[in-house]
Amino acid sequence: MKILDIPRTTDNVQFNIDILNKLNVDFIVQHGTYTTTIITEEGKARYMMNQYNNRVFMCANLIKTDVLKSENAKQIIEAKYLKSNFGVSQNVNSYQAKQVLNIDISSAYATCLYTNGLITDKTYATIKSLPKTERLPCVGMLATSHTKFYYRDGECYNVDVFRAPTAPVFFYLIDEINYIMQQIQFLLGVDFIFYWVDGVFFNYDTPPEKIQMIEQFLSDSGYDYKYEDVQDFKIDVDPKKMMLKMVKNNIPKQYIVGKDDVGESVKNYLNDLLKKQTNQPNINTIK
Amino acid sequence: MAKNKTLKRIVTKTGEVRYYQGPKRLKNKAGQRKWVKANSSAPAQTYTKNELRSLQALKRYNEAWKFNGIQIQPIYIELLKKLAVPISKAKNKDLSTLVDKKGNKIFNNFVDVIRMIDAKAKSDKKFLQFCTEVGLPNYRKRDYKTFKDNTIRSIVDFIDLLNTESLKNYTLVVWDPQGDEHRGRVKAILALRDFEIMVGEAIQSVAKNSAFLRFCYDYTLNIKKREIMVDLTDRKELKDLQDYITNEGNNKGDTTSISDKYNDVDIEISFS
Repeated sequence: MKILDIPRTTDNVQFNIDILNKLNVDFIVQHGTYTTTIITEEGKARYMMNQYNNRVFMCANLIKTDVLKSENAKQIIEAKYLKSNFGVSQNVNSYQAKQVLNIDISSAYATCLYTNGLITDKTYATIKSLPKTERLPCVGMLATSHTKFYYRDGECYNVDVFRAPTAPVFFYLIDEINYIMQQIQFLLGVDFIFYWVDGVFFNYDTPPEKIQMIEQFLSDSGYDYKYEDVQDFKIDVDPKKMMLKMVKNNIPKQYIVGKDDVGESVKNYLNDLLKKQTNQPNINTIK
Repeated sequence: MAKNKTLKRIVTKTGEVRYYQGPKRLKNKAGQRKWVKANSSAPAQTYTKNELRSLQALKRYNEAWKFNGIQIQPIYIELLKKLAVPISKAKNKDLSTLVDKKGNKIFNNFVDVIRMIDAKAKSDKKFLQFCTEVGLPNYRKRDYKTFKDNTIRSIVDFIDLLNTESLKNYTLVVWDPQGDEHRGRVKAILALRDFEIMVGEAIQSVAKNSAFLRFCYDYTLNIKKREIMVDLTDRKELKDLQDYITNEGNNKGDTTSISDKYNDVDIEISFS
């Protein structure tokens, strides 16, 4: 079967679905976090956000195998969580400073997996050997999920929802790192500026005793950390997005959070198509 | 020779107040704070306006709950009370001093308080839940034996919850079934009222003998943003409220529950 790889944009995916519907061709849309694949008898068109090296998938498999063997993971997976109704999101305000302090936890998710007995020494070493840009996706694959929309005669007749059984472990890791960040935020008090995943930014003039408390807390919790040189730090917050600019280790960086989400946009488009149909498809959840 | 670190307060000829720690002049804010702390029992008229503010802040700090000396929001105490944590045993209102029967600290870090509350919120749906009850027109003609009590509560009771000491500074945010946001107490309470009226009318249109509605809202607390949130977004737009009545039945004495239609509310309908 031929596979065609195309950059994932909402327009690209919509165009393909609309064409196939007009042609009354049978097809399946498999929509996941990083990839949307349209499968016909003729071949596959794969719309991708990123392309990862094979070592990412190999490492992800190592993690999954370890996690499925781990007793602690079984408890995490079996715990029946209701949705969280105790929010912890940050109240980020616009901020600007010539220089700020920044502590980054080294290999945060890998260490969290390791300190909680979810992976072996060998897997821990493998994750740590990967560059930072590959570490998060290989851990994130614990929560692989996709939805399959089956089309016939221009209408969707069936929907399969798949979520990896190890997904709760990934959400547990996110929670754990979030707790670490929240404790640091608490210790910093008025000197806290902002945290993002595994790095926290705070006032350059923070009293040394506060910093010592943070270092002690991280060491006691089993996390290695490092300080980064951050200059020309600026956060701009408006109702639609947050823009973060800084010069980190002499490299200018800019991040925009909450502006665009192609995956979500494609999902909304697929759901809107369903709503317009007169016949509603069967929806099955596969775990 | 050790330097003299005595805290001094000097009023200049122009009336300016300066603070010194030994030979070093302190910033005004830090000086005021230290001076007030060291002289908190001095007569009120001896303080400047800014010192009075520092004194009030000091009093608030002394009366507040803390963790390792760091002030915490009262909402945490309310939530810990719900978890039956023996907070009255804390020394100087400091949660870090709480110990269990074996003498071990209950909370090593403040995040352990958050973890405990979070775990409960995730596992027990009723932990953060508030219920209101509404009598439909038919309620007056009801068979009294059908209902456990005769008291109808309403959305107004939500205001009592918002007026508690721990939530009085919180903003209520409600998302209606269409997903539109209503922020602020008046707008959000009106959105809740409109929601309850809409549900009541929809139920009445198919079941005239519906008499009593109970709405249990699973609110979300965002402590950092000081927000209390209720998301009523319609999760099943393709299924009407009326369909639930048709499917479940509405005989006298029956009770129907709708828990999967809207995000943060369970609805219970009683029939007479």
